[in-house]
Amino acid sequence: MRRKDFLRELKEELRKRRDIEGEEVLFYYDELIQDAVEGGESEEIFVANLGNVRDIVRRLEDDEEFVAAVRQKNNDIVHDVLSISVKIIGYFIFGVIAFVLIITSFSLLASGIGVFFGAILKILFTGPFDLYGYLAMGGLMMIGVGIIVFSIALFKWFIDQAKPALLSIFRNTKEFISRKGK
Amino acid sequence: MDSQQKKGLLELLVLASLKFEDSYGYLINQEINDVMEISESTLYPILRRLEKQGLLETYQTIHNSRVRKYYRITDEGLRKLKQSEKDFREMRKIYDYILR
Repeated sequence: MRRKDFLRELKEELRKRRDIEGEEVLFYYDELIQDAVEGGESEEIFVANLGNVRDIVRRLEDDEEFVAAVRQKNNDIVHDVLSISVKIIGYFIFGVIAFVLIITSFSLLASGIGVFFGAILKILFTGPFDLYGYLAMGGLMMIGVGIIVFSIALFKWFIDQAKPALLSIFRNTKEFISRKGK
Repeated sequence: MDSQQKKGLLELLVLASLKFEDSYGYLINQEINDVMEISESTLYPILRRLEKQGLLETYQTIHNSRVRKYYRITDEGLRKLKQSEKDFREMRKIYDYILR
């Protein structure tokens, strides 16, 4: 292929891509081929070695993305700082809720156990009661068991809900520390 | 050699080829090809990128009644080159040790 044909093909291919400065690219290849010919190279062979125009344009596109990525990097730093502070606030709220829920379930567990064993001790040490007395104590024991089961269920529910959050906190912390290390 | 590694070196090679005098596309390509084999189409994106980064600047001259674009290294480009020369001297010790 001759220079003119190559440049026409290249122009055609570049027209599909508006983000590339086509004139500049055409100018560059035009100059390059003319210099090569002037330097004693065969026009046909030199043009053939340039490769096909589609690959050339694709490579330019990749580079366009690279340049854009470099520009983006500065914005990303701001974004990082912002997202870290949002995360820290999020973790703080999460921590408060977690603390309240854990404390609540443990105190419920303790009071459930207290009610249950309190009723047993009452029967053992202050009995014998009449029928109503035993019924009342049996009722208390069941309330105790109910509170114990509820507290365990609450704790389990919290752990299930929090598992992804806990994992992400762990991951983010690890990432943050390793990035700081760099 | 790993292509990513080659890409990084290529930018420095281009800067280094302009260290002593200004040059134009075809000649830069020729010079670099003596050291590292690259295809003719590899150079343009690199020249353009270096220009965008302010490490190179261009001007035009008339040659045989046509325009030729020359590339000149900027002060910032020279600074970058100096920095990498320091790195390379450090790396040379490592290479020398590996290749002994």
